[in-house]
Amino acid sequence: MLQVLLSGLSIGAVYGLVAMAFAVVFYVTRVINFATGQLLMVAIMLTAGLSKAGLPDWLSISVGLTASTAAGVVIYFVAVRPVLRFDRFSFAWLVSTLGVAIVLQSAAAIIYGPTSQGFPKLLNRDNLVIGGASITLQELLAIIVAVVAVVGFEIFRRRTLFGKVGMAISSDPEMASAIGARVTAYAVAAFAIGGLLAGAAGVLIGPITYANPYLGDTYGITGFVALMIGGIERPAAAMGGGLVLGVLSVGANTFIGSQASDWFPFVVVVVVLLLAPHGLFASGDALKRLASGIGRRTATLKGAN
Amino acid sequence: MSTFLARQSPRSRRVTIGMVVLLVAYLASTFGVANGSYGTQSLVLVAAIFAILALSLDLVAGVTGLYSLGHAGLFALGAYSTTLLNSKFGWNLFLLLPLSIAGVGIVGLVLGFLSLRVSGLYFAITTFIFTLVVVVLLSDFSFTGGLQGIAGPVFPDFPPGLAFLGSSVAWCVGLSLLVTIVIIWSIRSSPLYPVLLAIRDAEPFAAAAGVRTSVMKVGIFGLSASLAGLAGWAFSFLGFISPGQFSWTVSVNILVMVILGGINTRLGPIIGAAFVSAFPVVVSIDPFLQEVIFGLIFVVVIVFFPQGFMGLVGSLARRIRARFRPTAVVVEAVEDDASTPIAYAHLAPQEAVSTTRALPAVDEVALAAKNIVFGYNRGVLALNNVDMVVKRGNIHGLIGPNGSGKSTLVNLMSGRMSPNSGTITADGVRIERLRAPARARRGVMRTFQSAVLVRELTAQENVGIGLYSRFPGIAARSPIWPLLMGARRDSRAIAQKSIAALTSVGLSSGWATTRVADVPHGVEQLTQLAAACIAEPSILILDEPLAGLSSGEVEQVSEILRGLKRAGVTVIVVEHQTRFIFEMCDEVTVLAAGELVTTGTAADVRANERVREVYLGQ
Amino acid sequence: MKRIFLAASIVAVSALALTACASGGSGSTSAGTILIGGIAGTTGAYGSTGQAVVNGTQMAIDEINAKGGVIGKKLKFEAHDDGASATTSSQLFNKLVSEGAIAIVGSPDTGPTTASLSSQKKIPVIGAVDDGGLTVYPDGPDKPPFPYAFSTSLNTFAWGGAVADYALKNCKGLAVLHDPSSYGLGGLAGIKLVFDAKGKKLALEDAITENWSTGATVGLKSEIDKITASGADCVDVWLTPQDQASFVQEAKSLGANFTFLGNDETSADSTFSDLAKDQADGMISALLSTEVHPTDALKTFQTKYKAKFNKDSTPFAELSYDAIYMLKQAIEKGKSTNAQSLQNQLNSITDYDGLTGKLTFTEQQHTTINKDQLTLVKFSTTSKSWEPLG
Repeated sequence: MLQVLLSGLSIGAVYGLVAMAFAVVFYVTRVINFATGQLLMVAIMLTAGLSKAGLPDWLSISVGLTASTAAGVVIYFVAVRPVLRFDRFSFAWLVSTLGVAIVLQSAAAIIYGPTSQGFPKLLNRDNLVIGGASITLQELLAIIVAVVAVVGFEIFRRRTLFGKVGMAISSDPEMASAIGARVTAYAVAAFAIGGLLAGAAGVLIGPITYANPYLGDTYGITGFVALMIGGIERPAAAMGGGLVLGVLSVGANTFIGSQASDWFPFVVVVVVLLLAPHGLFASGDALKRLASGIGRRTATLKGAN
Repeated sequence: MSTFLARQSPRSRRVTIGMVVLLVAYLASTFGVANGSYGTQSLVLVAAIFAILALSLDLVAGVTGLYSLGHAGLFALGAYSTTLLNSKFGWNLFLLLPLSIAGVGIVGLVLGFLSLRVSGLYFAITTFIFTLVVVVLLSDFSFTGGLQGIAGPVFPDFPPGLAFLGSSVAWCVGLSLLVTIVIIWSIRSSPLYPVLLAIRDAEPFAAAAGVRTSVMKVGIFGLSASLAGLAGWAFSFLGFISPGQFSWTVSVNILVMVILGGINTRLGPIIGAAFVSAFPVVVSIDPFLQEVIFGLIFVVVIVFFPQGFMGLVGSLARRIRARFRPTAVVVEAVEDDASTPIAYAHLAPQEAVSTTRALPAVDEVALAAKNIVFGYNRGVLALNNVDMVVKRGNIHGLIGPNGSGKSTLVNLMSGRMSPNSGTITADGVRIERLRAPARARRGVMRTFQSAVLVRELTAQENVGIGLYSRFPGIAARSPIWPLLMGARRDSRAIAQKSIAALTSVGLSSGWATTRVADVPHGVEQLTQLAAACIAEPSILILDEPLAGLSSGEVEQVSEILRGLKRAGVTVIVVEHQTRFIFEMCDEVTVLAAGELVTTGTAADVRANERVREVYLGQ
Repeated sequence: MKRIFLAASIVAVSALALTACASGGSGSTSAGTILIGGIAGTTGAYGSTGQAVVNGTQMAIDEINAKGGVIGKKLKFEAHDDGASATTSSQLFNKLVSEGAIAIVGSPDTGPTTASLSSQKKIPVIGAVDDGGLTVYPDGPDKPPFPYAFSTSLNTFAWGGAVADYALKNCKGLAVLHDPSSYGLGGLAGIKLVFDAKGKKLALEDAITENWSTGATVGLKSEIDKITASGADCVDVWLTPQDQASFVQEAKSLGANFTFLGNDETSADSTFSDLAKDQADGMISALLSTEVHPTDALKTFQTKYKAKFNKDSTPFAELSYDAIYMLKQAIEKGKSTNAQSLQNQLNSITDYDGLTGKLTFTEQQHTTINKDQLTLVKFSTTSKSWEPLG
């Protein structure tokens, strides 16, 4: 049981970081960056490539993270800003960010070849045994990074002026720009943070999955699913979604059967969405949410008649 | 034929000729494809099937504003049910056609019903998970062929006499596409189209016009789902199906086709589907480079033409037209600045509302709200035990300081919300539990403080939305609208009535054909008023009709109200301008802090001490 | 209104264009060349396999053309990337057939699609049709194969059988962890065939859905626990090389002391050994005997291949090369490129002396590589190579 929890949380932390990368961008700009998975891939490939070329691990990782952060900002300017300037409510960014995703991963495949390559082992060698359950230090690090990311982001959001204005922008960009907030600066910051979070997820998972140009697809999808589970409104909730997805997948695998991890989390999600349509961690305490969810459900049933 | 054409108006004659040309082109191209090589067939048929999917998705995403990621799952259901029921149980393929259309349609209705309680991105999320679950089920069970998939049924060839037609599958897919195009284009040309856009952009406005928006959304999604089922049925004849062909990325791809081609356009989804499905097959260069170019096209097209290929075509067309007719101004732009006076038609107050209802006795009660209690959250009450009785044929004012509960009361009377306790009766019937569309159908209409109209439609089209509840069966008839004589008559009637209604609120015909996005605020407000009047309400609730209007326009509204009163309509006006209220109203109700202060004739209320205290500030 | 005319003209123009394509497309065979189609995923995480297939085929065709072609005609090879998408693969299949391709090589990614289409369209598919096994024998090893699918590919049945032989001799209990596609199920079927014959049972068989191709499968830890609990001391990980490496790494970090067995892909190229590094030591797999004791022909091929493509040759290149020569033999014997004739001639090829061994097709046998052509090998980190056992 403890093993399920630890394994689930450690992989869930990675899903959660990717989901958070989606959510931070969505929070400020109302855009879902479909190239988020590819930002993770950028960090993995650069780190792997540079460390293979003989650079020390810490330097390769720093360059990898810097690159994914920068790539996030580039995506904003190339694929998102022009679309939003035309029509703030259009969904055209779906196509342009997806286009960037295809370009990034094909370019990486051209540069590095399509086959998986080694990734620095980092902390994945060392094992820790807690109450009969084992966890590698790398996995422990993933959980720690996830906690730091959530706490750090929440403090930033609530305690700093920049964060507070960011909140205002997310609720009403037109009003915010009317009072003089520089919406562009916030969007750039959001895409940069998104790139950094996705890159961090990449460095954390790299020792387990190795480096492959097409990893972005895989983690983009799981991160997106985690985002859906947690709810899209708040980055911290997205992290919650990732952790839940991780624990549910590992739990389903252990207790139901190996392929149950394919469907079990989604069955849970469907039930959750029926009860609380705005995601598991949307707002308020769990009981109240459950009650109001059921209430709303019956109200809708009545209303539809 | 020639006499038939001669009897038609020039416009509809051109439409008929256009349709004939289109049909001939369709037959020629299908014939060409059906007799073409395997390669051509495969390319075109896959593109055609994705065109069906893209068109059906555009109906929900582009027109109704519901971004579904469930279409790959629905598509899969159509393909797999056809394949499995045919290969395992030997069901006839032509029996399976209506079955998969209806079956997938029903699944769509259920999915829509469950997920439409939430809108926007959450709708995308639930439909996304639907696709995920369908694909997982298809992969994990052995009777579906598992991950490696299953061979599709063989579509029967033409009998020898018709063999010259070529491949029967090509005609089958071509016909499916044609049916889809007819349905989608018919809806786009029917009066349902503005209504759907209103659901997308201005849901309260649609609801106030008597459209049961939630039912409509579920219904449209169901229709779209059944078209996806049709696509699945046809797709199963192309050879081989496996779960990977229906993954959620395919859902995203269909959405990409719609957006890349041009969302909410007739041809955009078809062009997008052809491009996305054919590009990897037709372009044969270094595969990695090909992928890079594919991605770059996405970015470049969307960045430079956010409306996709149709936006590109549109800008090219404008440029060509400008070259050939250099003197003609492309768009006769309506000047938006205040310096240009708004062109109002001479007002014809008698025609403001041509209600047929008999003039009632003055003392009769039209609408009565009794003991209304309402609170948004537990604890704080927005309205506490409020009564308001409106006599038939009166203009009844409702005033009070900000936060007094006026708007809440209006929302309760019009059905946007229901009271916690208390009763509301209209014409003697209890209505407090009815939703807005049901109340609108009972003759209780309303306008909104700031107009919410469909900005991309003309004023005339917006006003036509108000007639939705007055013409029966618009939704049911819309999929074959242009083919119905009666429906075409209704279209004309709606257009005429809309123009008349716009004239009756004093808007000259020039405004009728202007997009609402390009009109000044006053015109927008008057358009909204026309949309409410056109449905011949018995009780009309106006929420701050003067907000943002110039003094000339205020006079205009006064004139319209008098016209309505003469026509026997009961009017409830919420307004801040007390001079206007006391001048116009027979009776006035005053609220303060959620409680009733007084109700009485204008003169009584004006003289009331407490009113002076709490409201007039004297 | 204008839009309708626009639509009409677009439809009309495309109709004309298409009929033009249709009439001009076919008939390339009559122009003195024989077209051979190729479908392979050359992009995607398995792109290197697809590239090897295309390169190996191209080498055979260039050689044959340099020596004057077949029955007086030159061969022409046209290969496309299917991006591992079944829809694209079937579009390409139809495209190639209509261009007059007499046979299709591949696909190593979408084999189930090409194999199934081959029997629908009655056009032979040859070479790397996935990893043989269930892709060619959809109803199991003892049922008839697809009549037009002739796989010279690595065969999951063969590797499953070889690995099972090893396990019967050396293991107390064998656990099989496989992916649920025809690849993993084929391996399982090959293993079970041997076990059933001896009346033995597997300690555990479990399917795990792979994040196909990128090797980002997670939840391996709970599988390791299950395997430990089953009492197995050997585990065959019938997953992609990336996931095998991940599995070995996880198992070793948990201190599980298994003997790890591989599959046909484990030793087909260096992906596994590069990723697993030290932990690859002691991994059991099987190699084509010709790879262990290369013939002169194979050595020449590998040198030429390296010179031409600047990459090491892999079995997928070699077996595709063999496929083309077998096709050439079938054309020459039947003096025809007619599909029916090709099928008959291919079915009667016995002991063709190819790079991958003595190759035989019969009506019942549509995979050339079987258990007897394999040699069990063990990876050694000291020599950084697969060394034959015993």
